[in-house]
Amino acid sequence: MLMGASLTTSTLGDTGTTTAAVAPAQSDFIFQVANGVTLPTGVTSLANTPSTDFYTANPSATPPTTPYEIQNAVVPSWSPTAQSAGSVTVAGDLALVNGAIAANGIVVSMYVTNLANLQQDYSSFALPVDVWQATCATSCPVGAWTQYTNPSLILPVYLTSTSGFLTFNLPAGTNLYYDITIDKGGSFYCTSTATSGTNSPSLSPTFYFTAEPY
Amino acid sequence: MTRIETVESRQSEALTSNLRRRRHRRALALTGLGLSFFGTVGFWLAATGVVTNSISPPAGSPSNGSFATVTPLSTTVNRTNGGAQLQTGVALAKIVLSSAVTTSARVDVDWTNVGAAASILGNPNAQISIGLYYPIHTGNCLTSTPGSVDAPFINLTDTGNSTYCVTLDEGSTGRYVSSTGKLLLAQNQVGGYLIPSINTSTISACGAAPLDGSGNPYDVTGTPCQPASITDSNQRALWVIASIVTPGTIPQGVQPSLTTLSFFVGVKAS
Repeated sequence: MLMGASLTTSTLGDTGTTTAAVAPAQSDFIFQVANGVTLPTGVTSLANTPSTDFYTANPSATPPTTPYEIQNAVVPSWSPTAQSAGSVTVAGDLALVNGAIAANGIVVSMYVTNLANLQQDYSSFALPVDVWQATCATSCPVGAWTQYTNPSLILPVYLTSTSGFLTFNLPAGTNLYYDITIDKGGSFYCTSTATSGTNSPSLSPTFYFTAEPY
Repeated sequence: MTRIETVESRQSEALTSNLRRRRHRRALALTGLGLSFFGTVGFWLAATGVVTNSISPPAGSPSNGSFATVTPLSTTVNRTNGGAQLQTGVALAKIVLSSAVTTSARVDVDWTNVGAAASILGNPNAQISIGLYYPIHTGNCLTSTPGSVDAPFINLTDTGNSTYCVTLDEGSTGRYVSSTGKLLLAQNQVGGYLIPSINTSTISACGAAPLDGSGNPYDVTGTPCQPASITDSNQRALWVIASIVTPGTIPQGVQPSLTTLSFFVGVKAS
């Protein structure tokens, strides 16, 4: 019995949950997906965050809300276990890009900003990054989100511990929006679930996004 | 029999789009400079102009602006439950790129469902070694052992059922690459990259195996040839091929719950 209890405690101590966080550049054409963020008019759902997770457009609600404000963002998450391989178990949204801000296209880059911290907890990882698109050209709110298709970009692409960044070249379009997500799947190997201590270990990747119109 | 296939590939990072970005950034910088002087010194406007760079990708680059074309390949691997096994010649992808960049390419390979290794291969400690291979002559490799091919050679079937003997680029470098030019992946190392070492700027069409001093055909490393599937003389082809080592598998008679290994292969400038 004591042995069993000890093993259980040890197992719990080696597990954890983690979510991805995004730190976007301040702009009016790329938006962080997080609770409390107001998205452009018409964007009332995302590829993984349904419309039911947005506040309604009711300024008199309690507490006061803003139309198109995210109430419960669905961000990617997984549950790493020390000395075990795993994968992303909950797909989620990272950033929204407004495709109307450029004449021709937008170069969207995403960077992992805490690679050194992640290396304390993961020996390696390959996370599936996807691009979804939706438009409200004829009617808003945005319609169904569909995976972006382009012969020169086969999705998903993988964000890895040996690269740390990805770049997408996306065409511009009126009332066109792109949602950068992390899908289910991929691979990682977790060596530790520590989240404090020497070298500031971290289980959760943080991202920085840029969008350059041309 | 287990079907193992490569289901992920990536058309590589767009070279021309990168160049376009640089040009765009430069354009923005120039615009900012002009505006900053506008309010104070009027003649600066007259002294400014539009500067454009003439940038072209290397001959043989894919027409869509990508650095390279990656074609995923599907391979069937036979597996027998119970014992340790080595399975060679698991072709993952064919890469076509400009002859000018053959030694400056970076080939990223990631095992994207490593968590299912135990379900697929029957052992979580399976290891996969991956190398870059070049054709050296038409037909199958010559071997002293009937029914097998000696490393570093592999028999390959290309487009149109053309067969070639391909050889490992043993000088490849990169991240998590062994001294023999092979990327080693396992459960605790899901990805890495390879950089080719063989300069194939000059190359001849593939023909029959060369003859040694005694007039006998033989396999030789280090001299790649151009396969018939590559018709652009400014393009080169190489293959990403894996070997799978399984220390021991599930007992005989037990069926695996998954049957597909997935990999991601991407190519960009190193």
